[in-house]
Amino acid sequence: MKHLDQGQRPVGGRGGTMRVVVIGAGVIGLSTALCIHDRYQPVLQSLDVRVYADRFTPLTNTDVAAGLWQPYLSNPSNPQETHWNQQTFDYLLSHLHSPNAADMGLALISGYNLFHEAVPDPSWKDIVLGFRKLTPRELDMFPDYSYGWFNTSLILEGKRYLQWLTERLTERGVKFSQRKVESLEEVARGGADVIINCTGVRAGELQPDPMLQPGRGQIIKVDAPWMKHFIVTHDPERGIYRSPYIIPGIREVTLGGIFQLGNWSEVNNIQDHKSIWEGCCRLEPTLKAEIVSECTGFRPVRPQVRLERERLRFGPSNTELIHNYGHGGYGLTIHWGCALEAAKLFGEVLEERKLLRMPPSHL
Amino acid sequence: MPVSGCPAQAPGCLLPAFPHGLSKEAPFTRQPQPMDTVRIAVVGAGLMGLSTAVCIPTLVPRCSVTVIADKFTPDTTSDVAAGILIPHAYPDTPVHKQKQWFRETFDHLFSIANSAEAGDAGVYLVSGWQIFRSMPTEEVPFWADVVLGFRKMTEAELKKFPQHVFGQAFTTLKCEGPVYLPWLEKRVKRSGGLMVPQRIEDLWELHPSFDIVVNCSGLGSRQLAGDSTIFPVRGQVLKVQAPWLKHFIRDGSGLTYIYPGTSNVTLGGTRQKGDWNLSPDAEISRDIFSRCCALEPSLHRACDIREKVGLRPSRPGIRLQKELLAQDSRRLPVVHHYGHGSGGFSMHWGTALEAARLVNECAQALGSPAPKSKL
Repeated sequence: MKHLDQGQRPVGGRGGTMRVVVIGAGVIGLSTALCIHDRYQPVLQSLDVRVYADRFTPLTNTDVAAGLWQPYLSNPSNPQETHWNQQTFDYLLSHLHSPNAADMGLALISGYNLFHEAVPDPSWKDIVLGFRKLTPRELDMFPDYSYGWFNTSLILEGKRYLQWLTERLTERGVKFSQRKVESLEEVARGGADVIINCTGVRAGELQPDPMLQPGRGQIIKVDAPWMKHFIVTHDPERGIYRSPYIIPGIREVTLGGIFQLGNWSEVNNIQDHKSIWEGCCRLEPTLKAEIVSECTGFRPVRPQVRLERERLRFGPSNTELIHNYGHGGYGLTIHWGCALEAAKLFGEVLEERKLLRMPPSHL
Repeated sequence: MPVSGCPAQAPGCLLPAFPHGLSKEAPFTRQPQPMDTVRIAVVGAGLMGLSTAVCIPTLVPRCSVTVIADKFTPDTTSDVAAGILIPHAYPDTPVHKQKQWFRETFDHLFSIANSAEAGDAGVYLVSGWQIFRSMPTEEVPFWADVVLGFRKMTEAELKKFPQHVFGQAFTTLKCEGPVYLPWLEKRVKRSGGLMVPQRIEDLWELHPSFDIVVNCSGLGSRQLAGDSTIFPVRGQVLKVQAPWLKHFIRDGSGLTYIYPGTSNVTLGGTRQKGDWNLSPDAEISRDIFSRCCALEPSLHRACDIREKVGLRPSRPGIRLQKELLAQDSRRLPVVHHYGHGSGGFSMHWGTALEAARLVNECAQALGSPAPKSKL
């Protein structure tokens, strides 16, 4: 990107030239970059998309996620999120039949959601496949629980998916730059026309957001290839992700059950380890398994996703900002719907700046 | 003297189970038994032989069990099978019996699958779909309420299989031969049983060393029992690496299937009646792979493909029957337990329990035995 003096930036012009910087290389950053590139590259004279991040796979929070497509049980405060979840599921399902599915880290998986008492069906029961209640014999397998669901959903392994997204972006000429962005201004003054803010849990470092908090999670990965089902337990008194869960990935099985609001400690905690291990072994007695790894991540928790535009003014220049962060524990679940929405907002920017190439009949 | 179960063996008397090698010398040496121990020989060390050998001591008081076979795991037919619990229908066996045996097998394995032993036994739950290109005559099979969560597939689920119009979704069990058989062998040995690698050409070889013979020789019964109704149905399979597959898929008649396992995925298959050829056929492998990829395109990424062949011991009905062999003044009670065809894993525990009951009947009928000649 050329470094331009202040005040000398051409605004669009005869063709559409756009310089886009995506900050953040987790699932939100990379999928948004891909979505925007594929939608608008054909209709712009030149589209320059770059990804800036201080952490890339395998060091992002996305890499820690188990990858099960499953929204929260309660309805989101923003009803658009339900729509974005559905768009993501449909998008992933359409990729399942291609030979590429495994390369993307994508697979169908069935499993159990367990409760201590009867609960209403979730809003996503018709999005997943084959949703039904558990039969008494199935519940016999889980003596601590008395009610539950069975359904078929999807696994999207964070690490594999980020690698796949990186390959797709690289093929398209998108550049990656490892750097710690200290301020949005710095990126704006560097020549970006549009900044997509996908900084996840650390978005507050660029722009204070009191609604954003870390929801610390710790997980243990084990080698247990006989496990073919996910088992997610729920305890309404303790809250989401604070009850044991077992989620098989393509090769390893993720054990979890930790959710600590406001805890920024990146270090694996021994108490949390015990809590996860004991909870999961009690849930699944066959789990005499070898521990492969253990890690900590931070869910970017927010009452709802921040997905909106903002205009930055640094001196005389105007830089468009699109926020796309705060996806809590359901980033993989919702990512594609949010990427589509971010792309739509980007399209609005292009229209406002009259940068979209008009079809010949309109000239 | 123990009241029930088998006397423990002195360690020096246990012969190891050799996977290869046929030894004709000193065949059946073991420590001399107390006079009223019933000496039982189980011929065959596949799924039926071993599970019967496990069941017998639980029912027959004061017995010794010796498993004699030319092949042990991992070289038996049972090692090739995927081991998925979906019953095969036997025209000559009453449905209520099939259902009983399937239920007994399922319930038994289900409790293992939910215990800490599951990994050692190679038994675990797997969900998936049985799909049909045209409406089946029977929408709800006899075993629907034995498996878990049996239901019709939804329209959305069927979209995954555009060539198919109907399907059933359920959760069942997979029992992996190469893990389950060694686990059974350990259980046999723990209760004092012996494994003897030896090829038996005639059941009379076991007289007078043994009081009762249990014939679990599968296809070997053509010779050992003179049974011409048992014939091989050759099955070729591929074992591949595709760890992202978590569901089984069985196409209609069961000719084409995808069964994910612990360490590989079994792709099948063939049903070649009367074919004894144990060598894999490359053309058939290509055909199996292509049929399975049509059902599950992600299989194109599968790797480390290995071919295996098993000869299903097929018969119109499972033979579970006592027979008293007689020759001159010699008598040899035999319990036949063979002929499970495609349905061995699905029925094995139920039929093994029944075989053990028949063995017990024979043991009771023996009464107080005359003094035995020394070995």
